[in-house]
Amino acid sequence: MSTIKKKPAARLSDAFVRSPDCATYLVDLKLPPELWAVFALTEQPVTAEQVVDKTGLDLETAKLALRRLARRKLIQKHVLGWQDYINASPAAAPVAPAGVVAPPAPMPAPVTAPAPAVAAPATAVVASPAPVAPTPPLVRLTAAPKPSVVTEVVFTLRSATADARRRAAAAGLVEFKLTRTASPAAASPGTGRKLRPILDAIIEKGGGGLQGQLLAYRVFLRIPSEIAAAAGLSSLSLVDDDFTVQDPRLIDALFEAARTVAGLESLPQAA
Amino acid sequence: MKSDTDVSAPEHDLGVFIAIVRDYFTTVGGSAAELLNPTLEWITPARLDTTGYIPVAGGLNGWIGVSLPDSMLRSLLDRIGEPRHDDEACRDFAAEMTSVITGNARAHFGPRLRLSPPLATRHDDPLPDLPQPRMSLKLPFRWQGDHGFLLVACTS
Repeated sequence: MSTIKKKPAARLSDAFVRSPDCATYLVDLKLPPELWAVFALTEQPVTAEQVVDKTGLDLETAKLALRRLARRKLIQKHVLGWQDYINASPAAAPVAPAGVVAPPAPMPAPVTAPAPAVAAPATAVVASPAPVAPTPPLVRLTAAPKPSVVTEVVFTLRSATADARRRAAAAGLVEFKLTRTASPAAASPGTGRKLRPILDAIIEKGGGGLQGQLLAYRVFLRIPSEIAAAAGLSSLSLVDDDFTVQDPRLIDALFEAARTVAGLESLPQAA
Repeated sequence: MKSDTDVSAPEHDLGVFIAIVRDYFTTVGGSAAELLNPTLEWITPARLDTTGYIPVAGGLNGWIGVSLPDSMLRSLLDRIGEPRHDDEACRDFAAEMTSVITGNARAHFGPRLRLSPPLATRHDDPLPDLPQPRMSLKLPFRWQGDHGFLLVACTS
């Protein structure tokens, strides 16, 4: 009897790009510098692997960072309609007869490449559609090229769409600076355990967003006051806190509460 | 195992409550309130100028507070054409707002969630006689450039 060995299926890497209305969510938002460094790469579509290449973060952390940015609606999965795709890609194949699917083209240019002023015309279009004017980027970014050695990043947001212009008019031009003196790896030294991955797991279990945050509230409600006080908890952001738990009693209590309230049988190990 | 879409879960009820508050701003204020980043608070946050409290019991036990600055209340008073904008008008309006929210919540939840009559206080009034939670969830929001917050204070 023979055994057919299947070649492992290649996985498509999701690419993420800034959401059209990210300016709405940037106002008053505070995030760790490592997350902003990832966000800085998303002016054009970027995969977790590309984030790893450009920031030196490990793959899991890069994926987590993209998920966190997506949850805050700052970025979204990069998807295109077929017509948009062939308009934007000179190498695109013509539409094949029914039942035949053209292979995918390579990912768009790396994030550090300057955006072309005008989209390249499609060269292999069956019906010769009218050229589509490129959508100007919502956010124009000026940043040092290597995030791992960034000491200062200046973001200047300029709106392009009518919608974005309206929001910008209401909010004023947003300009902010991030300063970092250490590499991402050096930013989370030492002992203890990051609370963020645990919080993320609970929030995800609750369905994400507000529902997930409310579940996290109910989980923390089960933690005895004296343990919370001993751990120094007085206020904890459910979105961008970088709290590190030092007290093992808090971890134990949190595990138990997450199991009882959220039905989580295990929690992620330290990030 | 807890289901991710369990509509009987307390957080679903809380989500409905929060949606009712947001609907209030959309309906009466003419535009939606934007929810900002929530925080867990082990020390009850300082109240803004006027706070409405809605005690709840049943699936949830505790209270839900809506704390608003006078500037926001005056904008709302403007919206409804109320000429008085003094402190007393702000307190009355906050009481009315929490009554409307409570009524809408009662209509939604029915007997499953018992809602006591709401009360409103100014920031310099004594704290109302309500059970103090071990911790609360603060949900800041922005409406028309002003910031208020919802406080979810469950005891269990």
